[in-house]
Amino acid sequence: MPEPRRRVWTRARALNALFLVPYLALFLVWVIAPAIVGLGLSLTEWSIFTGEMHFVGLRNYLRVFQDDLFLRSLANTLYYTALSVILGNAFSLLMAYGLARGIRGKLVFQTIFFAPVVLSIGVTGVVWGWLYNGDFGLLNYWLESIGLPRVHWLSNPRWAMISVIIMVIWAGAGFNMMIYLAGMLNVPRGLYEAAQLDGANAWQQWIYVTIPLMKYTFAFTLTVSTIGAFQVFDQPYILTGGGPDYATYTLVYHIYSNGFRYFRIGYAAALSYLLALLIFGVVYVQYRLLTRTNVEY
Amino acid sequence: MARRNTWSEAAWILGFAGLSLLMLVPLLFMLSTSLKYEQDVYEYPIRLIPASATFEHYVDLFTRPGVPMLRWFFNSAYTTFMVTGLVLLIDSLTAFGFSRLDIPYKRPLFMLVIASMMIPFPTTLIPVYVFLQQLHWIDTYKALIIPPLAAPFGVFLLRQFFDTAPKELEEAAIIDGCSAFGVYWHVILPVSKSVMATLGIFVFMGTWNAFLWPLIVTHSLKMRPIPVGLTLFNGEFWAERALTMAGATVCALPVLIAFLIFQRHIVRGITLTGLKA
Repeated sequence: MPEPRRRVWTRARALNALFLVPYLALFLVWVIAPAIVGLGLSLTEWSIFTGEMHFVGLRNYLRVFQDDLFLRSLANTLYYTALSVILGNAFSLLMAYGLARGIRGKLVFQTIFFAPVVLSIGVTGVVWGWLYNGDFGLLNYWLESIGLPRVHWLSNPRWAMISVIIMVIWAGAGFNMMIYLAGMLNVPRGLYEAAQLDGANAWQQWIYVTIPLMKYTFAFTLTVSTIGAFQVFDQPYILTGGGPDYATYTLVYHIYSNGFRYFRIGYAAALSYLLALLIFGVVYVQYRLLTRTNVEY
Repeated sequence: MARRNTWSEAAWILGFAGLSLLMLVPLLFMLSTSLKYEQDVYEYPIRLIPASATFEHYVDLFTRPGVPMLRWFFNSAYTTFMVTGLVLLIDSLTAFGFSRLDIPYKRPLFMLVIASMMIPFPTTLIPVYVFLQQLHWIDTYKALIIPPLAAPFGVFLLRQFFDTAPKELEEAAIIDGCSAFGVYWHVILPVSKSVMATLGIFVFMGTWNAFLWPLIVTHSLKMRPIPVGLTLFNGEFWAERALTMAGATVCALPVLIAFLIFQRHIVRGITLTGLKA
């Protein structure tokens, strides 16, 4: 005889489900529905003024290859991501390494290194805009006082993206520093003592003990910083307005311009799906590479 | 790593002291510019410590016509207060349900919520904007407050914590006839103060500092929160750097103070998310 089917919805379970209702309602309306509707919009051409909507198939997706500004923004984004992720994480690691040694004043240093992380990009942006100012900015004043020529930080296309990256590292490196620090303090001390007995110097301990044991920490920080870097917008928006000559014009900037300045909703939606695909692809490859090697100890 | 080598420790301390000064320069420059008299702002050589200081720009900031600073401050404070409070309430109810209660389909639902963290924020921006426009919510507090409540981070963080909390107390409470809501309210919440504080400070900072979201969903000058309002100074009031830096200081102060008070919780939150991955 087949077992009698248990009822899925009893009174008690229905009451329990009420706990989930407020969040799931929000989640459905503001996450799931937009993700689906966005995909639909990306297949249309829609004028928000006249309300006319046409189905255009994949045309929006194909259009990107003829869009010079898209290609430009893609190149800028890749450049920004590579530099900011590598330099930013190197800087975070350096700070974490010093703190992990347990030097005196550790808490003071940690507080100062982390403090910029809590600031709004609105604050960071206007303050750095002033620091970078060509005529009255502090950075050029310093360069001049040590006999170097002034740099047109924000008005020279070759320097503009570098300026954005320096600001981003100042503002954000403290975050990954904390994660690296926690990872380093988690490595069992005995392993270092054993390595020392085997005659390993500080550098060898770092290469053969710390890095392999922190594999997942690295995978996490690098993945999360890459995801964030691909979405960069606020920093160039405030500091340079995407210029000069589109030197700091990024993918999300392109989505913003198309969606909210030119109101090409369909095209902007297609661009944002391409961004998601790009991020998934890069992160998948990166994560596989970073976690490939096995640690044996 | 506690090898006490005096010389190398001294070198690290010296290096970090220099780096700390360098890291503090932008904040010092912001503060010092905001306190300078107008004629001293563009003086050369630049003084990091002004020769004479004034608070006139802070007064100016709140009284100048065309700069609704008080309103911006209210917008930021109100939005932040509402979002933080509602996220703590809604996410803790949800995480409790996911962690403890017998609910049909809760496992796939939770997986869906977690998977949605993979969707990049800009991807849903366009459709969400279209929704807000259809609802006529653009340029309202509802647009600033309600959609951010759907962020899955808090549900994830709290469920992680609830899953590891001991169950004995709860079982005792249930035997005593406590309802599910009673267990949530009288047993779970009191032992979760620390993780709630961690989530609260993250949401507080994230909302107070948000930029792209309020930039898009508000249009009028008076509905802007401070960070977006500040960029007005980069355009219209470009020449008035002291005023701009006073505005930046006013925006930075609440989060810096919160950071100094709740630093322990912030650090814990970061390391928790980092190590769980």
